[in-house]
Amino acid sequence: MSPEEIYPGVEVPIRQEILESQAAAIRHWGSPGTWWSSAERLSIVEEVRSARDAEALPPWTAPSQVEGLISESHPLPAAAIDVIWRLTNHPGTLTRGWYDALVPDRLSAAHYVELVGVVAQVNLVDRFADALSANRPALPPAQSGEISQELPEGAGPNVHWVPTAPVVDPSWLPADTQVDVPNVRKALSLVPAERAMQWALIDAHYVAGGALADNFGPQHWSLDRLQIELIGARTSALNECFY
Amino acid sequence: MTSHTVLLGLSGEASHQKVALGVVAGSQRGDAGVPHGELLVRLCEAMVAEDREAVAAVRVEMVAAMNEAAFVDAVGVSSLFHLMNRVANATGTPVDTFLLAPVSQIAGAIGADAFESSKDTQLP
Repeated sequence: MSPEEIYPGVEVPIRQEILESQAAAIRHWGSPGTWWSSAERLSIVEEVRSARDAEALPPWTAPSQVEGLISESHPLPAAAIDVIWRLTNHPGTLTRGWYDALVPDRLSAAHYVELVGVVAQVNLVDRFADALSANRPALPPAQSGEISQELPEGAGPNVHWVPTAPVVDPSWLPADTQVDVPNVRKALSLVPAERAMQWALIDAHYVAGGALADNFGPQHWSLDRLQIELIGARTSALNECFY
Repeated sequence: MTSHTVLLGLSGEASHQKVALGVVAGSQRGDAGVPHGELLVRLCEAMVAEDREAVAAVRVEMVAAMNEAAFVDAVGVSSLFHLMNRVANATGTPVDTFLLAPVSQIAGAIGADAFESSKDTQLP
């Protein structure tokens, strides 16, 4: 899918960086992942859309346990469906105990991290489309290919619930070279392809290239940094995200 | 929330603006000392509530007060934080060491210490 094909007929000035990063994300969903196949990844996207459009469930109700809600022939395991719904509709309710009940007994840590990456990307793209009153982007066909199952060197427990790996990425260029990569940018590092996709989306939609703690100057795109940080902080408060 | 509230304060200092952090928490209304801040907050709230009529209403006001590109970019920033919040909360991401001191000074005042995800960060 090309950037121009994402939002046909939408006549608002969407920046090229946004279009390109979202087009890359959509292509990425239909590609073989590290731990989930391309067909499974597209099923994840469709399940996020189902979860958002369904009648709301309480956070403690697992959709896989609701009779008749999920098809018995669903291609994803029940644990993945439960993660998708909880993370999409109740992101402020996640606990360490909830994670420990899932990983590693029901999902491997790597499967979980890739799942979180895709679910989060779909929430970005679809909420963007909805707010513009645009159709949610069409999904690409599943691409052929095998999952790579590659674990990054040095992966292991660190400060997150999930294992992480050292991140070396030349796009991280803070003016103060002592500023380490922020923890949220390391969170998906167990699955480098999802970490890279997250970074591309951050750079296009928020503040590019490690300028997080550098450039508090007036103009970023059509907004100034004060406005950007107010939007980020207020959205995070509403989603009950302490970070 | 806390990291970007700190960054909001730093942005305010750089712009010589006094920022009302209560607006971030929702305990206070108004523009927070940010140009068109009240409209931006209403946009965030409408998007989280998935209230399409409210989004459409604030869009008309934002285009009139700012411009269409600013509306689209604001939607983009809020959408990005829907990604970031989910990544942070689902992975147990703690606040960065270099932000612990300023975060500890504001977390209680803005109500963030009541969030479930506050348990992922040990404040000094």
